[in-house]
Amino acid sequence: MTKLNAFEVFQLLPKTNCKKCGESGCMAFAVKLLGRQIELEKCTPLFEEKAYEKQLKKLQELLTPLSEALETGIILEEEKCIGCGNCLIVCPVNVAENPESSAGIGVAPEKEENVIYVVKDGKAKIIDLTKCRRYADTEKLSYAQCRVCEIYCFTEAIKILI
Amino acid sequence: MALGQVERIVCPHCSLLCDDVFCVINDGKIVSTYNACMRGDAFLKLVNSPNRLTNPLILEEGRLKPAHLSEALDVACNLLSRAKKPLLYGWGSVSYEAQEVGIQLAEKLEGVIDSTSSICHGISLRLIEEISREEFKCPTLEEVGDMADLVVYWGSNPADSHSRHLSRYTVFPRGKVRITGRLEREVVVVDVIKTRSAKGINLFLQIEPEKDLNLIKALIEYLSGKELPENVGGIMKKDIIDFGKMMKKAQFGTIFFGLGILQQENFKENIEGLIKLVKHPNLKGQFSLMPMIGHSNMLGFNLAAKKMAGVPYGYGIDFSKNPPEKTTVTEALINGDCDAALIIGANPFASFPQKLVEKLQNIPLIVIDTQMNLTVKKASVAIPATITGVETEGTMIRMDMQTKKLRKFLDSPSENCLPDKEILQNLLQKI
Ligand code: SF4
Ligand code: SF4
Ligand code: SF4
Ligand code: SF4
Repeated sequence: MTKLNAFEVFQLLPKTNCKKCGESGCMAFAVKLLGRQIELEKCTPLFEEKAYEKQLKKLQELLTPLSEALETGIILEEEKCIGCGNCLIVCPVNVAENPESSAGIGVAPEKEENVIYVVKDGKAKIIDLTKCRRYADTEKLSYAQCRVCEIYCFTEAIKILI
Repeated sequence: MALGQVERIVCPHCSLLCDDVFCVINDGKIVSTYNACMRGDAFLKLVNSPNRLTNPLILEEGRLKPAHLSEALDVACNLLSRAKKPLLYGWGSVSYEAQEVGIQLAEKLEGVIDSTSSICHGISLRLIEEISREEFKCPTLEEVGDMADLVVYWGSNPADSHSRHLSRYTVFPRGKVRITGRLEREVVVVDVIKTRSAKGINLFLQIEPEKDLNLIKALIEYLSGKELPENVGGIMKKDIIDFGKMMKKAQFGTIFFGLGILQQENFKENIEGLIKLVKHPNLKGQFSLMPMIGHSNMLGFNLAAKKMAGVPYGYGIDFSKNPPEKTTVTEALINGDCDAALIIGANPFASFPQKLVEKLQNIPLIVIDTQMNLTVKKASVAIPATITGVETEGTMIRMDMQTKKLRKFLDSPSENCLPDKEILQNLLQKI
């Protein structure tokens, strides 16, 4: 799957910076859209003006997978997961919350609520994604670049869409 | 969340013997696992499976019928005592303690005993010892994790065979020396196809089938400062040089090789080549070779056979000879005159080549197992056993020769299921 980026989304917006959406401009709107902090419907010109019809359709197609993803753009498909634990050990937040994991040791059941990933019943599970470094920083309108869980997942069970 | 009874255990499913697995137990059953990979989880959940063998079975009028344990043991005992040269085969997933009793039993019966290792990496270990003329030594997996800056998987596919190899031990942990973990290591995979293990690594070399030896030789030539041809076994010169440079630069490198290296016409030369490669004088770092042993306690059998009868790795023992000689299951079945077989913790009807299966089909079989399987279905008598590391304690040897103690944390599923060791001791006494 190709990554969505804000510029691609921006290209399909009206690019008039009319601010009807309540944002400072189309680029800012695009970034929030990817962070799922604003709905596409807020850009009223897109829906009201016939000229944007094609662009709207494309945008909607582009954004559909995102609606299944979590705030960080991370999707975990359990059917693909083999429980290797790579995500769990490589994720900097997991290791910070569960220091034993720096030695490759998994997360004990009583600590499962502290981390992002656990491997339970042979499959990875996402517990608390609000801790992920990619979690949108609304102020800065930016994402941390971390995506190591996706890079090192053996099976493509983890995908980061943005 | 209330978890109920939680046990930290050693996963008994593969020779990584991961010791950070948790089982949540409810009503005497494993309802949930933490940290076990998919295969380990499935194995642990089989404890409660309907396919569990909980009743002794005896073949009567062409059908397996439930019997009393004492009856089944008597039948097993008779078949074994009557046989001139029984074969005792399997042993890959039973405890070291049971393996020792198994060897004593073979000795008493003047039969043949062998494990899965003689058709697997036992051969690798033996060749390494023969060729290097020294005892096989390897770093521990923890040492690899602490120090390795180069980890190579050659003809092995850990993602699918030992799923937690990289995350629990070799690549992702932050080690004592490699304190940031993954970033300080190079990971290389050499294989004939791009497996899942080849994702997220530094270099993947797709070698043409049976061309591993050419690549090994090319690397040796590169290290010796010789010119390389443009292409070796489908691999570009540039990639070989990259690999060679990684080896030269590395302070600590380990090559984990799999059946891809062994299941080839020239497997001997492959292993000889790999030994030459890791011992190359132009390598500054500390290099080692480790076969990716599969069965949880295959190594245990090798060590027990070595200690008790002095046979090298990858061999079984023929106690019909005086003094006992080394042999293998293949040799014993093809040329031998084995006239009964005891199969324990193995499913040869599913894993053996056809010509060996045919041999087994024609002799009485005593099968000791935890699950119903193809081999049990062919048995003259089947004896149910408890699962080592779950319902029975015992020792197993990890792929890097480290000893792991496994606990009992569940009760036996039935009074008919005894630990392997007890079943074998029982037979030993009766015979
Ligand atoms: S309403 Fe639409 S066109 Fe106007 S600034 Fe927002 S995104 Fe751009
Ligand atoms: S993106 Fe980084 S911080 Fe977020 S879950 Fe993945 S590894 Fe952890
Ligand atoms: S890295 Fe991928 S396959 Fe491995 S446990 Fe995580 S999600 Fe599953
Ligand atoms: S890697 Fe092997 S020992 Fe570890 S959890 Fe998986 S099956 Fe069990």
